Amino acid sequence: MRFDKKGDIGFPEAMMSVMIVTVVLTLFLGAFVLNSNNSSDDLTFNEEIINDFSIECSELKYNGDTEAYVQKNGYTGVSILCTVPGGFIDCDLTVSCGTLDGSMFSDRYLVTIKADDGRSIPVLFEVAVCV
Amino acid sequence: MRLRKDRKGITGVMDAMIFITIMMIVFAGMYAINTDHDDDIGLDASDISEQILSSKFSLCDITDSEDTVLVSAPDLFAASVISGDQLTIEYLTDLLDAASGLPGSYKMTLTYKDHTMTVGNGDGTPVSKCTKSTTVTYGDQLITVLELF
Repeated sequence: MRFDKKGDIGFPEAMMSVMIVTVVLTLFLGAFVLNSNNSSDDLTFNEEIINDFSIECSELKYNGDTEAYVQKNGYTGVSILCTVPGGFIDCDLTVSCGTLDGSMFSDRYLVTIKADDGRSIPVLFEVAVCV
Repeated sequence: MRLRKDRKGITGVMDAMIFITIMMIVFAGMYAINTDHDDDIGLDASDISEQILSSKFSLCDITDSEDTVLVSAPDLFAASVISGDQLTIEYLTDLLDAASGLPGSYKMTLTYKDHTMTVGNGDGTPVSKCTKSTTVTYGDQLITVLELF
């Protein structure tokens, strides 16, 4: 191997290289920390509560225990807004429990709910849960 | 300080450039993973079509008939496609506005016996699309295409 000085780095170039690497590494670490702090990704909505909704005498009803559901799933709060598109069942229902603080997960579900008169009607559930 | 006018420092700068390229690839990977998570949120065309087509209504719920007889959604929609019933279009518009979350950002095409009914005016490249074929009680198939934009 020949030992020469062709690969030697000058002071300004060395400083520039160090600064580039430092800036890019800082940006990467910043993005990584922001990404890993997004803990709401792990939060999910337990859909079993939707089974507690029914339509009786053309009225949307909730027959479950919200407090037990919140405790069982380790949420601090839950809010469910139910609407029946079309207006033939004139009933919007909101079920909520606890406080909606901290990491939040929200989503929409269109679910067909069976009525006591034999109809099956699409109901929109807009849910938000927090831990 | 006077800058040195030689090319000896080129190796260090090249190292930094290679480092930046590698980091850009890593950033792109992280961004792609996050974008995949976003896709999981929200209803897709298949969910919405399945729920709508499995519904069962009283005839008086949607049409201007006073008959309370129960009809399945495919039967009702097939009849509406033939008759061009505006009340069914209004109901489906209301339902799809609520389900998609963005009023009008969808297009549902119902085809039955060479007749077609379209709901919504979405345009462009759909983010979700679903085609379903359902058997109608009084014969033939109702073809439903739902596109979300």
